[in-house]
Amino acid sequence: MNQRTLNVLLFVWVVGGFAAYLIQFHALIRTVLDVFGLG
Amino acid sequence: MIAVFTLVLQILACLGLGAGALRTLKVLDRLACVERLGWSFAIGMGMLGWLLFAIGSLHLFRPEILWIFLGLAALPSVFLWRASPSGSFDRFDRWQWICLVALSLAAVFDLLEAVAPPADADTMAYHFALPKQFIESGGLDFVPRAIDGAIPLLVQMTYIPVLSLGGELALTLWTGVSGWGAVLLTYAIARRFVPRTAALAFAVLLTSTPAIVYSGGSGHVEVRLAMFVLLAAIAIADTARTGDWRYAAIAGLAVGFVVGGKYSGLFIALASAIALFSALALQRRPWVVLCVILCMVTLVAGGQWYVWNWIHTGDPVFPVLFGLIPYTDPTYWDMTHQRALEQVMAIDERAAPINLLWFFAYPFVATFKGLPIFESGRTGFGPFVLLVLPMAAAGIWLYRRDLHKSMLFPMAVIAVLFYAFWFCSGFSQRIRHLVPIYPLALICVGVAAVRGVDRFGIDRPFALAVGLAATVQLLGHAVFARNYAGYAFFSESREQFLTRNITGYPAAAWINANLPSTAKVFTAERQLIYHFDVPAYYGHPTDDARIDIHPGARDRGRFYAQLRNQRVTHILIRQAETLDAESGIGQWRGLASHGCLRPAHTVTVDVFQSRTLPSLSQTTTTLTVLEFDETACQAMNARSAG
Repeated sequence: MNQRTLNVLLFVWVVGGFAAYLIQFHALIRTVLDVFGLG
Repeated sequence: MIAVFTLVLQILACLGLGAGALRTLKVLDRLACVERLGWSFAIGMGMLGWLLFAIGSLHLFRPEILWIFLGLAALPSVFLWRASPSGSFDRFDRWQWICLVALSLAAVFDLLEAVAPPADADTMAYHFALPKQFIESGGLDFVPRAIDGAIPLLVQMTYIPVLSLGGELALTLWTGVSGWGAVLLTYAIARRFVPRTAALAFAVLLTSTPAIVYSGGSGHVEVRLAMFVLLAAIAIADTARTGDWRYAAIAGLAVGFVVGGKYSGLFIALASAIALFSALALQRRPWVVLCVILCMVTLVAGGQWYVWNWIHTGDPVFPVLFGLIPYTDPTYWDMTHQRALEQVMAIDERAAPINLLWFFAYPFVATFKGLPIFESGRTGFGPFVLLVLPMAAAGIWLYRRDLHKSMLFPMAVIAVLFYAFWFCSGFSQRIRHLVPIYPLALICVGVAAVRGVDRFGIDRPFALAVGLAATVQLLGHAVFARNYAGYAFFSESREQFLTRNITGYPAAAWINANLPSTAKVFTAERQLIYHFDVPAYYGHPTDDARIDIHPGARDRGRFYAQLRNQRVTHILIRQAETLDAESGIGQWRGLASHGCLRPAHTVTVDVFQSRTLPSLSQTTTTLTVLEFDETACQAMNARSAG
């Protein structure tokens, strides 16, 4: 596996993992946006 | 002003005691500058708590004695400034400045919390309530309540001088500052393995971790225990590296302070002994003497609260050994409460079955979709560790043949073993109980990831993981601090802030304003205990047997006798939760129906599920203060006897 492929795979892991982490907070994020008048 | 002075004096006292101990052991000059501060503060804070136990057990919690004690303890801090400087100082680069700005932001957020009145429920129930009670009585009283009374209280001992001498502001400032001890040590330890930028990034990630944000500034002990665990781990690593008994003694001190801070510290003690043994044995070094030193010092540094419990109940880990050894006072605990507590632990505190699958799944489930009992969403560990897991795996694979020789080896053993002991013990599965080992996990995974990044040239995904995790965590920290900014910047009074943050605070305010100091209030409203100015009895359905309100209790005569035996004059109850039942906490209805209890004041209050985001759930409930009518009570007793 060359370095470019490795970097792409890790980017996918990091971005995907971060998105998966945030999904559980979708209701919370909406509430926070409401609190700051951004909802 | 007096609050800040007391805070500074207590910080100097911690640094002084720690520096004195390190100098006595001839270790101070071997440490890098930032390590001197971190090690001294951690050892000193533990020693402060240890010595205050002795002062309290002699009933000497008097202002003049505490001033002298702190003043004398602060004197050896001069050793820190006189110790020979180590290393040169390099200028900060751009990324390091970004980390410093992030750390400064986190510090400002924490300061906002520290200057506001305390409002966390556990903190009000016992972390701050017990020190306040001890100060009022001039020394330590035994509190025969499971889970939050008859427990190791080494950390709470350090709350006593600041509260007694500097008042509430000094106390909240102290919890704010002492929470940063783990951050300082994380940076100092990480600096041994990685460049300054990465070490600063780890510090940012730790200080903004939701679980740390949630509990660091409150009275919770876990973040402060994390500091002791970090010191224990690096001292064990140094013992394995050098074979020097001095580091084993320091590790013993730190492990003892964890043991003296929480029952689960016993798991840390076992894990630390195994870590030291395995690290020494794998390197074919002599281990017997060093392990004995570790264990003996641990015993001395952490054993006092277990002796205290044993003297008062017969059970050093009250009430874990109930039924196995005889108890000195049968009113303290009984089989009914033992079963009720076991049921609570099995149902209310455990969401995942204890099996191998969940052993490995828990960290992932807790990170990505935590069950409510885990409390791992808003107060979890954030995404960093799992985001860099592949990079850490690459780093571990690179060094797989020499792992046992690494200084990180004993640190990782402690973290993994503690997690295993905790998970298999059936203890509460709330993720915050893992906070003491989280900085260790962060360092081990982070350093391994940096090794993988260096070797495979994958620095951009790593930087992205750090950036995303730190950004979302700092945003969460800002949202958390917003609640406290209202108090700091918008002229909100203390009463207004507490009414906005603590369910039922208006009832406590009414009691403080209207009841005489001779009154004593019984209540299960744990979030109010600290804020009562009159004596309060914190009743609990499962944790306290002296006034029996477990869900099946239904004996108004016994309930009345137990209340009067504790000299209770008033009861504060939440009507909505008790409905019409006359059992458990609802036994007051049996007394009220005979006129023995009558309402003195009723108030409707807001119920908060989240202080940070009150709009998540907002309902109201009714709290009623009831007072005894002695004539009616005697008539009721006479009828019952007849």
